[in-house]
Formats: sequence, C-alpha cells, structure tokens
Amino acid sequence: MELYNEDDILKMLRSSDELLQKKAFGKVVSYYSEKLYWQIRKMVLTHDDANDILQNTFIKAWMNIELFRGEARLSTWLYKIAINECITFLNRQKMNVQVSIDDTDALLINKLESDEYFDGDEAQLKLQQAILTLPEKQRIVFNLRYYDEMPYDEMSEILGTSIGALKASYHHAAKKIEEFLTSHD
Amino acid sequence: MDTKNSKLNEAGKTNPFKVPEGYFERFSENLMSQLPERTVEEPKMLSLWERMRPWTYMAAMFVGIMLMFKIFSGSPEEENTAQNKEKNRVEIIAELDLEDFYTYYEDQAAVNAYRETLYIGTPIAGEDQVPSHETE
Repeated sequence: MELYNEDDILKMLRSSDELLQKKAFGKVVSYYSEKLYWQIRKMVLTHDDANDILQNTFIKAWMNIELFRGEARLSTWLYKIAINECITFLNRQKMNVQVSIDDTDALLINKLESDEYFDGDEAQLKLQQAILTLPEKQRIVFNLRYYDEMPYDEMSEILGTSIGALKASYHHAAKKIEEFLTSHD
Repeated sequence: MDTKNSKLNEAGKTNPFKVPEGYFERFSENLMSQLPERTVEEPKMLSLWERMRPWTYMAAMFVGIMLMFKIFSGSPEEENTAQNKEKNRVEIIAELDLEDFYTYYEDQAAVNAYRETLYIGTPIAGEDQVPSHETE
C-alpha cells in the first residue's frame, strides 16, 4: 500500500491544479473509507444504507474541501461529516416510517436480521438490539468507545462534547445495555 | 466494573458485520469515477463597471445617509435653540488652541465679574467703584 502522508495530501488538496486535488482525494478515500464505513455501518446497521452514506460523506467532503482549514485533523472532519450524515439518514427514516421510535428500532433489527452481510450470532444480535435502545448520541459514543476504542479527547473533537460528558454518556450507555441484556436473557 | 459488565463482555467486541468481497477496493474506484466536477471559479474577466459596482453602490449609500442626517438634524429653526448654541460654542472652543482657551475663559470671567458687580454689588477687582453704585 502506498504511504499515506497527510501533510503532503493536504498540500495537494489545497493546490489549484484539479487533477492533483483529485489524486490526493483518491488517497484520502482509500485511506479512510474502511474506518468510516464501520462507524456508519454500526449506526445504520445494513450494508446498503452504510454504502450510500459513505458515498455521500465523501462527496460532501469533496464538494466542501475548501472549508477544511486544517485546524482539526482530516479524520476528525470526515468523522464529523459521516456522523451528521448518519443522523440525517436516521431522522429521515423515522419521518418516512411515521411510527414510534420503538417501531423504528424494530424495523432496523428486522433489516439487520435479513441483511445477508450480518454475520453475528445470537448474542451479538442481542447486543445490537440493546445498542438500538440507546438515544442516538449515546449510541455514537458507545460504538466509538466500545468497538473502536477511540480516545475520549478525539471523540470530544468529533462530537463537540466535553470529555466529562462523554465519559458519563458511555457509562450510562454501558449500564443500559447491561440491563437490557440481563432482562432479555 | 468487570463483573458488572459481564453480559456485555460475553457478547464480545468482535465485529458482527461483513461486507461483500473486495468492497473497499471497488468503493474507492467507483467513488472516484463518479465524483462530481466541482464548479471551480474561473478567473472571470470582469468589466470595469462590474468591478466598481459594489463600491459605487456603497458610496451612493453613504451619500444617502449623509443627506438624511442633513435633512433630519439641521433645520434652520433649530439653530437658535440653547442646545445648538452650546454645541456651537463647544465646537468653537475645540478649534482654539490652549492659549486661546485660557484667554476666552479669562474674558468670560471678567464679564461675569462685571455682571455680578452690576446686579449684586460686589466691586470688580482692580476697580474702585462701579458707576451704578454711584447713582444709588
């Protein structure tokens, strides 16, 4: 795999030569697509939706690359876009289904069960079900921390929330999941 | 904490999701091929008027505002009001240098002292008597 040097890439992205910009962006896509995909996938659960959102995320980033000023890391900026896209998608889904939140969660679980790209056993399906009972923000925090083991300071940059609040949020989320798993045993 | 989260630990951290084979390799290619062209702002040749237009509008606006102030704040009847007189005096004072300023106030003080003498009867310093006293 080609070496990924973010400083060089950022210089190329800021150049006025569009071909060079595109080349640099291609490298960004190859480097970040997998990380972002998994984050998105854990939010929307099915492969098809995750694929759509990942595409939208990169297209948005490409169209707004001038707005990226390099104050934060590129990864932080991309995560921010991806998470916003997920939230927009989930909200739109809720609006379209016109049902209560419980039913939306049930819908997501049904979708997950029928998704050919879900490979989990019963315990993992139950864990996904438990995660779905969390409010959106807690879900994001839980996924970032539990699966990706992302440091709180990085999470704080992405979500614009204080480290203390994130720790509390993770603690609550873990507690709720534990309760759900115990009661549905 | 560990025992508390035992159920969570049982479920494990393994990623239960999978993707179609070669998905990530194909994803980059697909995305790059369908990446929309950005409307790069070409250095358009602007005519002189197009370049000057915003400035002209701004200048016109300022002139308008100034005229408005003139119309609404400076009617001739108002010029004689006490407020305007005071304003004029302040403006005049501001224009004088410090020496003139003292001279002005010395003169003012002299006039005031004279007036006091006229109406109250205190003699002016340096003067023996005031004519009005003589008549009384």
